[in-house]
Order: sequence, then structure tokens, then C-alpha cells
Amino acid sequence: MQKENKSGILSKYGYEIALLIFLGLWFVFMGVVSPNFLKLNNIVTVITRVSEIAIISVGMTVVVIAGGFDLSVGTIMTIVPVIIGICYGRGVNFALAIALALAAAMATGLLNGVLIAKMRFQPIIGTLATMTALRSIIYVITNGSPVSTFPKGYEKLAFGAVMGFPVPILIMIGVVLLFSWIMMATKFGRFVYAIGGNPKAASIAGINKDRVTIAVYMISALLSALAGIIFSSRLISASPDAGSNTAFDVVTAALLGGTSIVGGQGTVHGTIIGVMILNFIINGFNLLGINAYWQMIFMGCVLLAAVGYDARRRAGTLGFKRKINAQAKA
Amino acid sequence: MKNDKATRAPVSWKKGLIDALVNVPELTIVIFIVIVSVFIGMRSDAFFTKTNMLNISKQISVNGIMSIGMMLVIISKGVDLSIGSMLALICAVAGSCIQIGAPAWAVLLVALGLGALCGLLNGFLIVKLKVMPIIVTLGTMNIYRGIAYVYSGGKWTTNLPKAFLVMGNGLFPAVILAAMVVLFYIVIRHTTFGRHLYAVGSSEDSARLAGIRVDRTKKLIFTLSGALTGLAAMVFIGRTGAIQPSAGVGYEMDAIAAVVLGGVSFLGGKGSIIGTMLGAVLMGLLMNGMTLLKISANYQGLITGMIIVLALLLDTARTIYKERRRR
Amino acid sequence: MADMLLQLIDISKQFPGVLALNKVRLDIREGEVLALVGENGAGKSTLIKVLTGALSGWTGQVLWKKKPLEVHHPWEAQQAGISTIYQELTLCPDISVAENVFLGREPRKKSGLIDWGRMNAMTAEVLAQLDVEVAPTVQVSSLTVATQQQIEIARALTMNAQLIVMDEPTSSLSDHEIKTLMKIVKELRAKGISILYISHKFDEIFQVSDRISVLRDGQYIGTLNTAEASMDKVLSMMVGRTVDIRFKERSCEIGDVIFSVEGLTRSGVFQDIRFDLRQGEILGISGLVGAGRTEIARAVFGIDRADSGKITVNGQMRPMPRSPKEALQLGIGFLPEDRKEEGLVLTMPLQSNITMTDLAKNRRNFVIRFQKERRLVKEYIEKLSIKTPSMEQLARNLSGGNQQKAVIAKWLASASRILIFDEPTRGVDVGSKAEIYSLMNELVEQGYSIIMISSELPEVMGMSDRIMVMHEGKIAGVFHKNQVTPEEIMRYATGVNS
Repeated sequence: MQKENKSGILSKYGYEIALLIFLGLWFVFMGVVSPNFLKLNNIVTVITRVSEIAIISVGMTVVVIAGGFDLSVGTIMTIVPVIIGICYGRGVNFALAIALALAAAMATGLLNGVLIAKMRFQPIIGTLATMTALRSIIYVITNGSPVSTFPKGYEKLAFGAVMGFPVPILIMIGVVLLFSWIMMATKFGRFVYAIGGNPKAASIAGINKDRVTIAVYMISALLSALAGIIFSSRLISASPDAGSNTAFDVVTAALLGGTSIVGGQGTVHGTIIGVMILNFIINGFNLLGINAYWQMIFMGCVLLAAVGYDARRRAGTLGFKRKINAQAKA
Repeated sequence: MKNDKATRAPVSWKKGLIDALVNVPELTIVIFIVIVSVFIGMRSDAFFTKTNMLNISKQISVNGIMSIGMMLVIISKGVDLSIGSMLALICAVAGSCIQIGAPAWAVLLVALGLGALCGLLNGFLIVKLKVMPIIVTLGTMNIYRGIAYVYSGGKWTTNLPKAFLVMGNGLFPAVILAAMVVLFYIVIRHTTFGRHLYAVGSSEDSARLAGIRVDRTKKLIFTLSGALTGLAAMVFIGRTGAIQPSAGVGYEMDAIAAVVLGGVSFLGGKGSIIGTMLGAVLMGLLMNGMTLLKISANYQGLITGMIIVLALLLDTARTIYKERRRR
Repeated sequence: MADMLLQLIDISKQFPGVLALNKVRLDIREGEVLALVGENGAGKSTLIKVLTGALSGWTGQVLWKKKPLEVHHPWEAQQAGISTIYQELTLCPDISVAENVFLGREPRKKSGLIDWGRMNAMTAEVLAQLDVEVAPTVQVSSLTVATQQQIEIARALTMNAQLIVMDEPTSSLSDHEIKTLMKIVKELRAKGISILYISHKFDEIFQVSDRISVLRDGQYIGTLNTAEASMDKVLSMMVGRTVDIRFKERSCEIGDVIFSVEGLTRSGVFQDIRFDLRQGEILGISGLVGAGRTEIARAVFGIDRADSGKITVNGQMRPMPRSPKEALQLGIGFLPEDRKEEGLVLTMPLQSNITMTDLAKNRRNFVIRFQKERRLVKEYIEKLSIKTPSMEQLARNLSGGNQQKAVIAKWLASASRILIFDEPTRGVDVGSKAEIYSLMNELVEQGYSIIMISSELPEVMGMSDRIMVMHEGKIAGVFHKNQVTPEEIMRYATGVNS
């Protein structure tokens, strides 16, 4: 009964393996077509840049697996460095400024969770509301212009390196490993899958649905905050316009990586592969001189394809479910 | 339940008022419109002038037309995030038609047709992929925007022939909007399509059981929304006198705001065109008022944003109140 | 004698593991009211689905007015003249009465626009025929369930239905509303419309039907003329059977009361429920659908709120649990009726499902101890003979019987000693049924105590030490298993004795 044979691994990780193969093929293709692609410099730069999106994607993956959706990630990513910059610019201690900004992010996550869990808002509507509110606040406090009052050496975060590895990449790896572990090896991770897969059954089994829901939105907010700090460190400024398309990019990556939009399925590592694929394709497009706007079209198509594939996959199960339900009630 | 009976008699007028506010959402907006108008009017002399009223009517026309389409979509329990990008795309294509010298009526047809086509694509994907409208239109939002940029090469176009400015000036925009309001009032009240729209939004399963072609209805809804966006695009070109691929960013949110303010519920099956128009009017008044009162653009964004949030909260509160009363 | 309207000949339907219908025959004549009775699970719902085109994969023949009829889609049934009023009403709440009545068939003017005048007038006419005092322009959501049902009947009339199938039509109606419905049924019959009236309420059946057909275990038992039939005869046809599962005698000592419920009330659903459970006993709860059995269980387990009530566990009295977690911590476990919707997370592996409750219950241990978990799960898989290629198999890929065993394993793993089983063997094949029964016997022998809600009389008779019968939210009677016959249980369940 306990067969861990090869076919088991294939069926378990088959999708991710297919994605990796695709990524590999893309590398081969680009390596042939554009010599600059495979340069270590290029690859490292891409991964460093991408680390911010990757970190947010991890948070979004957790939220989507729990059956939710977080549209506010982009605005949280934007407001955190804005708060840090403005506070620091007014003479607030840097560490305190960071603390305040993180507190604001957590408060937003908490608000999202409460709106959705306790007030029964639909996740998209609830996070749309917070996103709108935050964006307005950002514009008011920045007056529409970017904030650049950051301490000296702020850019060290984005450009520093430890033993040759860029700091952002290390942080990303850390976040990915941490949350992979949480989702796969802890009670909390199980509960997230459970409430996403079948909220009723999870509740009957004794899981506190509301608490888990609030927790996942706070996680998403926190990770968005972290990404925002890295992002602003790279530019040494916090722009109020940033983050408008973040939710879209992040959800596309998660869906591509095998996360199901209705919840209950998906993995952190799958999402990361999705992020890598999307961004290396964009990188390749850039090197090939393809217009940035073609990339927009491409990303939109990827989202539709991923979501369509997910729906097909579920339709197999759903059809099964409906049939069985009909039988069971006979 | 026991408490209800005991306190019913003395508070009947209060309950009656709340009932009215809950069951007739349009009433709430009218009250708000009155309050806002009075407030702005007191603070600024320029408000109640003919020119200003004309300005307002022009301002709300584009959003108003698009809101009608959004209303159709939301009543059917969907949402369309792509109309802003659609606007830009239609403008871009219209722009190139104008540049090759096409007459105004031809460009109008192209705009309507392209809009309908984009809308049909949305509807088709939603029905075929069996995916939530919000996700599909999130995808098409990016696709249409991308195509708009690619098609126009990212360039702006100005100096349009006079003929195209007609639609954006004077009373024209308001007239067009009014015509659409009348047309769609008839459609949603007196055609089978219109009633099926409400049925599908109210209970898709029951509608299906009754033999309604739900898929076809949904596709038509999105197609109409797209066509309306095409019309709005023509008015937009007339008003701004320029074609820019960055047009329409955030317009879907403005349309959603007008619709939600107007009492259309995200739960589907409810809503009126009058309400939506009132919502658009309120939005327009606020924008106009804020400009007159010299409120900075940033605060404008804040206020609009807050209004959307408020409207959403009100909508939820309304639903919860109704459910509690039913029990 | 009236002409034959509908004939069902040798209808059979097989589901995996369960033969739901076995060569069922049924005749309905023009202008007659035929009552269809049978216990829960006798096959009534399945038969209706066949009749109304909502089910496929059945064998047999359907004759309409002596000619073969193809009913593979609901639309086909409707066009032939068969309308169905389901228990879950199928109206669109946000539009008007008239629109619902004519949904999809709206009368139109020459211009193509809807002819409101005609539609409202025709609706008013048909409503008047049914004595329903509702304006056609009213929104359906503001009407009571009873009125909505009448509107569905109105809709059937406007579709020129010749046969109206009513599935448990009075389950949500007040006495007065039931009287009105009876009147409507008689008037419809007078108009020459036939009614297939599915119900378990004997007083209604005897009041309004011309003949009574009985199903039992998916088989057609017989038909009686109502005028000549007696309640007892019908009951014995519904219930009498050869038992193919032999229930073993249990030699288990029944201890003291370890769990009791008092004053459990939720207005409109159940009233002043009180019962005890002794250690090592199986208390069977019998009753018809809608009697409130599952609702009691859900209140006891903290899923739904009750208006009032107290429970006593192991000597300590306390208010009803407010959440499943609280109930869990009191040592109660609940196996829901619908294991797919509420018992298992189908997208997760068997292993995770089994240990879910245990993980939820314990405050410590943030990290999952995988080795310990695997050992535990392996133990339960063996103990319960769950057939699965591996413990990582997704729950949705297991068969019905094994899924049910997985749910049982989940609760055993959480160390709950008081178990509430809601329909433990529904949709389970015979082999697994026997295994579940012997498992339940083992459990009580080990000191567990079980409350078993069941609609299968043989199961209730064979497994319970004591039987509690519910009727319309109240306890109709409590008996020792040797003190009561199946017919008597049905009597109490149908309110005949009250």
C-alpha cells in the first residue's frame, strides 16, 4: 500500500516537471537566438528583479489556496515604503519608521481578513475596497509625487550581496523555503488547504475557518510589505504609481504554477516556477527587442490559458462530483 | 422575533423610513445628490450656472454610457474590468480610420463594431472557459491595453477633423447619453432579453431549468457592454480631441462606482437604469464640485475611492438587513 | 375507467454499488391523483428524476398516452406535458410573479416587446383559478414558500401540463396552507389533470389520492385503491421485507448515562428535545426527512445555534457547544449525512483527511510529525479495512464505502468517545455496509457510545439498543429495540399515533 514508486512521483509532481521542462526549453531557445540571455549577469539580474514579485506571489498563493483573492497586494507594496520614506523624512527613527509601515500593512491584512471572514464580503470585493482606500490614501500623503527621503545606504538591501549571492535572491529563497515548509509540513498549512478545498468539512472537523482566513490575508500583506521595501530599496524611492498591475502579474504566475482559482490546490514551489517562467519569457522578449506592450498581450493570454486549463481540470472533478451527488441522494 | 412584535407600533415611521431606504436604493442617492448639490452650491457661486451644468453633462456622458453596459453585466452577476482598456483600443483604431480620411459615420460604425467584438470575446471566454468574469476580464484588460499600445505605436494623435469633435461638445454628449438611457430602459424592461438578464442574475439554475439559453444571454450582455464602450469612445474622442493609448485607465472603476451607487447589487438580479444614472450624476457632481472648490486632485481620488468603499459597504448592509428581516 | 396517461415499464437504474430502481412499474390514469409512498431511499426521488428527464442511464420504457416517450431532457418532459414541482423551488426571486410564470415563454406584441398587459392578465387568471390572492406584478422574493409553490403550480397550468409531479409538497407548509393545497389538488383533478403526489404524510394521502403505489428498496411492491386501503396495509407494504443483512447480536454491557441533552429547542425546527445516551449503547434516531434529526445533531455538535438547551457530558452540565471545536473537546464526534460535502476534503489525500480532526483539536504541535502520522493512519486503514492503493490517494478517488470509512477513521483518530452517525450507510455497497456495522459493534464493545440517525428501518432495528422516533421536530416515542415493530416506528414517524 505504501508504494513510493517512480510513477507516484510523476503523478504528484508531473505538472511542475512539465513546467521546468518548458523553462529549460525556453533557455535553450533563447540561448541560441540571443547570446546575451545565458550570460550569468543577465540571469542573476532577472532573478534579483523578480524576487520582489516572487515574494508577493508566495503570499497570494497562500490566499488563493485558502479560497480567497487579494487585490490589495500592489497597494500594500506601494504604501509601505511610502510610509517609511515620509516618516524618515520627517525625522522619525528609521527602525521605528519601518515598524510603523509594517504595522500599517498588518492592519490592512487584518482588515481584509475581517471583511471577508466576519462580514462575509466576497474576497474580490473586500480587497478591492481596501485597495481603493489605500490608493487614495497614498495619493493624499504623497501629493502624487514619489518619496525619496531614505537613509544613506538604503540601496544596500537591493544591491548588496552575501557571499556572492544578491541579498534579494537570498530573501526570496528564504521566503520560499519557509512558506513551502509551512504549507506542507505544518498544521496551519493543512488547514489552509482544507478551508480552500471544502470550507464546510473543514469547519465540521473543528478548524477555525475565520482565524485561518484572517491569518492568510495578514501573511499576504506582510509579504507584500517586504517586497515593497526591497523594491523601494532598488530605486531609492517610493512612487505612488507603482503596483497597479501587481495583483494581475502575481495571480497569473500562481495560476500558471498550478494553483487553482477556486482554492484547495496549489503549491509555493509551483508558483515560483511560474514566476520564473513568466519573467524569463519577458526578459527574452526584451532581449529580442519585442515591444513591452506585446508583453502585456502575452501576459493576458497566459492568464486566460492558465485559468482555462484550471477550469478544464476541475470540470473533470466537478462532473464527477455532480454525478456522485445525484447518486448519493437517490 | 419576540421583540419585534412588542416594539412594532411606536417605531413604525422609523421602520418605514429604513424600509424605504433599503427597498428603494434610488431614494438614498437622490438624497445624497440633493445634499451634495446644496453643499457645493453654498460654497461656490459657479456651481448652479448654465455653463457649469453643461460641463457636468459633458463630463458624465462617457462614464454614463459605459455605466449602462456595466450595469447590464453586474445585474447578470458578472463584472467587466476590461472596458477601460477597450476604450483605449477602440480610440486607437478609430484614430487610424480618421487619419485615412474615413467619414464620421463610418468611424462610428467601426467603433461600435469593434466594441461589440471585444465584448463578445469576453462573453465567449467566460462561457466557454467557465471561469469567473472578473478573472477573464482581468486578462482581457491587459490584452486590449497591450493591443491599443502596439496598434498606435504608443503615439498620441491630435488635431482631429472638426467633424469628430461634434460628438463631444455642446449638448451632444448628454443627448447621446439620454438616448442610450431611453433605449436601454426599454430593453431591460420590455424585451425578453432584458427580463432574462434579471432572471439569470437572480437564479441562474432556475433560469436554465425554465429553458432560457443562459450562455447566449451572457454573451449578448457582454457584447452590448462592448458596443456601448465603443459609443463612449466616440464621445470621448469628441471631448478630448485626442487619441491616446493611455486613455480610459480606471474607467471601469468609475463605471462600477456609478452602478453600485445606483443600487445595483453584486449579488445579481437587481438594479435599475435610473439608479445607475443617478449614480453617474452623483459621481459627476462630486468631481465637478471638487474642481470648483479647488480640492486638489489627490484628495479627489481619495474621496472617490471612499465613496466606492462606502457604496460597497452600504450594498452589503442592505443585503444583510433584508435577510435578517426575512427571518 | 379513465384512459391511461403515463406508464412506466420495468424502469431500472444502477448506480455504482447500488441498484436504485429494479424493474419498477407505475401507471397513472388521466384525471387521477396517484400517491407514491416509500421510505427514504426506496427510490422515489430517482423515479421522479427518470420521469422528468433529469437522469440518464436508465433502462425500461416510458409510455405517454400509450405511445413511447423519450424523456432524456427536462425540456422534453415539459413539452410532453409533465411538470414538476420540486421540493427546492425553482423560481427567480428578484423578478415578478408573472415573469416567473411565463419565464422563457413570455407573450409578445407585434413589435417584439413583451406584452405586459397580456402576461399580467393571463397570470391573474390562472392565479384566480387557484384562489391565490397575489398580484402578478409582485416580486417573488416577498412571498411565502407556500405562495411560491402555488406560483409554480400556476406555471405548470400555463404550460398545459397534464401530469403534475409534486415532490413532498407540504414539507414547508402550515396546516392552513396544506388545506389550501389539498383543495387545489382536487380542483386540478376535476379539470382532468393528473397528479403524482409523493409524500409520506398519510392523512394527506388518504384525503386526496385515488390510488396509492408503494416502492420499497427500489422495487415496485403494489398499488391499492385508496378507498379500500388501510393505513396498516400501506405501512406493511412499505416496511415488510426479508432481511438480507443479518445483524449480529451484541453482547455488550451498557453502562451509565454519559451524555444527555435537555430542553433543546430551535423555534420552527425542533422543540424541547431531551434524551440520554448510555455508555456502550447505540441510540437509533428514526423519523422522516424533515423531522429534525440532522438539525438536532448539528446543534449538539455546535455547527448550528440552538435557541436553548443544555448538554451534560460525563456529569458536567453546560450550554450547547458553540462551535465544532468545542464539541470536539467535549469528546463528541459527528459524521455528517453528506460525506462529500461535509465529511471529507476531497482534494486532499486520505492521510490528511484522517488526521484533520486530531490536528484541529490539539492546541500544541504546530509542526506535523510525519512519522507519527503515518503510523496512526496506517493503523486506522488496517483497522477499518480501507481499500486504497496508498495513504496519499486523494479522497475523491475512493469509493463511497471507503470514503465513509475514512470519515469514521477521522473521528476515531480524534479520540471522540461519543459519536453521532448521520445516515452511516447511505450510498454504500452491501459489502462495506456489513463492515461498517461490525465496526460499530466493535466500537461500542470498546466503550464508545453511538447516536445513529438512520432512515433505513432494518438498520435501526438491527443495530440500536434503543430507538427514538422523531416527528415534526418533537420526540414521538422512545423504545427499547425489543418493544417495537417496524410498522409501529413508521406510525410514530408519520404522526399517525399522535
